Amino acid sequence: MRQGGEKAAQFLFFLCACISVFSVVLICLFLLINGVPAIKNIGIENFLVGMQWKPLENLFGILPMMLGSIFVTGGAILVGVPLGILCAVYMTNFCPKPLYRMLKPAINLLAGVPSIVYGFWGLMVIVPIVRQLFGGSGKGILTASLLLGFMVLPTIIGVTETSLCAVPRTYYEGALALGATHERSVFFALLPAAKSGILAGVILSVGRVLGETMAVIMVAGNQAAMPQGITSGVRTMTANIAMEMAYASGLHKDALIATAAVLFLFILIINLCFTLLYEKTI
Amino acid sequence: MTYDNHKNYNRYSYKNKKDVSSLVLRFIVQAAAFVTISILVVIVAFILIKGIPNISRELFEWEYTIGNVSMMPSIINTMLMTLLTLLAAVPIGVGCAVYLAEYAKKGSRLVKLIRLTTQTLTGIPSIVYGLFGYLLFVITLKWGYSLLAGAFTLAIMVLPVIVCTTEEALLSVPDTFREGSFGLGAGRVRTIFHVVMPSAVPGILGGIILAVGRIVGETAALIFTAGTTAAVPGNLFSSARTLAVHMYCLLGEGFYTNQAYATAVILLVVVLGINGLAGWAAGKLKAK
Amino acid sequence: MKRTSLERTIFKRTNFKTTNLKRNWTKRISLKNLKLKSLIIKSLKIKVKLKTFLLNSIQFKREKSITAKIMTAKIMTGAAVMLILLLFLCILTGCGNKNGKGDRITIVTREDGSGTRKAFVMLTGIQKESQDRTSLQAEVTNSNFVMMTSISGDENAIGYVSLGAIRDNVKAVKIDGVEPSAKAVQEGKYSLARSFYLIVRENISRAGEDFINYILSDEGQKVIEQQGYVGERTGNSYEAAEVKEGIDGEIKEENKREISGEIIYEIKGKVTIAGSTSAAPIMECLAKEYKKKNPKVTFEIQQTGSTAGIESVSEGVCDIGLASRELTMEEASRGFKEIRFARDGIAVIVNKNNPLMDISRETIAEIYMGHVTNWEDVY
Repeated sequence: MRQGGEKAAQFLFFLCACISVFSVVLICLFLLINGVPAIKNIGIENFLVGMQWKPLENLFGILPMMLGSIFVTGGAILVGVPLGILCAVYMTNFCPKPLYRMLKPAINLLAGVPSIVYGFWGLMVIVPIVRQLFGGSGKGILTASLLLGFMVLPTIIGVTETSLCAVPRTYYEGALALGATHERSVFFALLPAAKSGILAGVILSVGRVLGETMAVIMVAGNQAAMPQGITSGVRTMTANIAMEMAYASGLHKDALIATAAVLFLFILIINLCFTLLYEKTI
Repeated sequence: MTYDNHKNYNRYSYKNKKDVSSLVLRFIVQAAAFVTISILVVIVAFILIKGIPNISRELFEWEYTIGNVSMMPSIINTMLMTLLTLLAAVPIGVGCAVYLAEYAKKGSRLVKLIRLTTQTLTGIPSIVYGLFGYLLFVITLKWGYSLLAGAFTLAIMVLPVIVCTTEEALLSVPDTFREGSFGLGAGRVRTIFHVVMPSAVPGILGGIILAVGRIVGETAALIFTAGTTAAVPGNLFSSARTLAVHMYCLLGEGFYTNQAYATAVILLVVVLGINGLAGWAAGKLKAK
Repeated sequence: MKRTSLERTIFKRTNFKTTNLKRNWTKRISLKNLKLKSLIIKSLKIKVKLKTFLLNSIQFKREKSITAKIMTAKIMTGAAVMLILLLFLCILTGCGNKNGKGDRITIVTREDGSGTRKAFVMLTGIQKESQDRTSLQAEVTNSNFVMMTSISGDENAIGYVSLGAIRDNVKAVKIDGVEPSAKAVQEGKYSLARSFYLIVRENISRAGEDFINYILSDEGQKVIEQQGYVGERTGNSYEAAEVKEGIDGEIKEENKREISGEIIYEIKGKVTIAGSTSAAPIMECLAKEYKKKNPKVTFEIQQTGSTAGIESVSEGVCDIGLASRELTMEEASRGFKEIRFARDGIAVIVNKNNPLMDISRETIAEIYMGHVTNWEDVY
């Protein structure tokens, strides 16, 4: 009897696990069914490498948008990951208990702030600062990177903290016993052991940044042109889809769905790279 | 936090060893924390300072009209949406994580596939979910712009968050717990539900908080699936606007800056409330 | 034979003969003279003391250097923090390098599907033969809020917005000498004037038809004019619609109402309107006023943009489409009815600190196409 119950429970859990596979398959299916004919129609080189996005003239090149997404994501990771990891290290190892009790809910709060509120805040606070420092209109890759870097801070801090706390205590104590100072043992014994968790956090945040729409639409300028510098305005692929989907029709709509498919492919490639590089850490 | 390293740092830190690199490391870490805290303070202070003066009674009337731009229907819609999404996502997510952590053999191909797909789901942008939800639920299944379409789309979106955090939480439960339970003769299911899950509950709740945060802040996915109608829906199949979508619409029109600030404050307060509630619940469960 | 200075001293003092020394130079010279001995020992001691003193001082320097390093590190970090704070204060109070890079015009425009944008590019000549030649460097936004915030924050920005949506944090410039106002639009003097259209299909619901009648009546037009738009007066006045017997589905007990002794059946239904963000506020006002007369009609107004609204009507998703521009040839061929119900002006807005007061349509076109990039060329 019990065996039957156990088997049933195992099957149930297995079914739940399969749902995630099933949904990914569904998403792939829908995007490809609608997107691939569009790409065929436009021509794959024109679509992927074309530098002009002018739907009204049937020019559907998404290279400017791809570059925009890549630059903004790279910048955000550069800003957010070091800051987040260091802050998490502080919170777990250097922070006095009362301060920690205040910091943790604060970081959770930051995690919950909606992206549109971030975009609003970025428009009102960061854009004027960048405008004064660098001239121009204040909107561009730099602003978007800063804002998105701040957005992923809570994710990275949370995951790094979890993984740091999951490292066995013996690593730290061993390092101390060998004569390292507290700081050295944390940085050179604990952090490398928590590498896998931190990497997972970084992947999570790359996903979040690549998919960020509302915040980027307000601070990145949305010019559908090739980015020329760190303060030049860009349009990310997500902003492109969000702005044009409402009124697109026919080939334009399918081209946008194809853009979404390309975005999806990007994410797949990133995930695959990380999985291949760090097989052992899973 | 499972250990108290901060107590050690006075004893083993740079002061006694005269190690300059330790000083530098310590300073870097403190500076990073300071920058993070200051960013948080600036965000919250800005929103509160600009928003609180704009909160007025008419923003909370039960019916939305162009005159009062009330956000009450949006608040109710947000709660409904969150509830529906969690109802759909949490059982499936926890089940999936339990399978990955407890039942699956470590190196099997199926586990690798499931992990790959879960990680993929994590990375998919919210606008792609919105498009997918639009294509599947609104157009193909003919539900139209509806609460249900939005809830299902969001459920798929937060699934990986719940799975990831639950799995981390389950894996961080020491094996000795399980072994002790098996040694006492409990079956797998009983072990999972009575021994492993209670200790993993803070992690699971953390995952649910992250999920709720994502749901409350979601705009791009909902615009294409649940629509932008500013009224409490009569049934699950009618369009409903959540608080974040409400703010997006206010910003689009450009008239209502003050009300936008007020909406931002309310959003923040709602998120704080959710976090506080979850923290309290986690504390209570831990005590048990 | 080389003699050390010590030997020479000894030789002088002791009067040894050199010959003896020459012969016995390998012998150790025993010093019987105590004074000399002590002198030598003293000198040796002094040497040793000097050496140890030097060594100590070097060691002392080393120890000191570590603490000194720490001190310098602290001082430097403190200085860095002070510098950063100073920089911050400097930025906040505005002594940044605005003027150095400042003259370049920042163009802000709306998204492609916006009726306001279409109307703007057609009226200023930026669009020629269905090609919109707006510069690729123009910032694009689909939100009026972002448009006005960008312009009110950036001294070099220029943009455009519907006259009815303008707020007082930006300045509207005169076009060819004409001040933008509803009166100027009505008199036809203001050149950037465009109309709002209702796009409907042939078979519209009773409630929708009645709503359109309301909009076109005097009461509706009064609401429109109150909001700052220009109405299209047709002279009809509106009466709360009565449902005559014979129209199925609307004669129900719940719709019964008694007005001054007469029993009428109210109109009930749902009207979905989708379209222009510029026209949506006025539509909301009209809907509110209409509801006062016909409380059983519900409205669902979506702001998606003019082109999206027209698409929704053709797909059947909504009843009435709102467009803030004329239909294109392709859209007109789909068999819609285009009803003009209001006119509105597009105001070109600049920052309040911008000395520009008047601008011509050609200059606007040049700016937006990217041919003129500095404010100096405009003044």
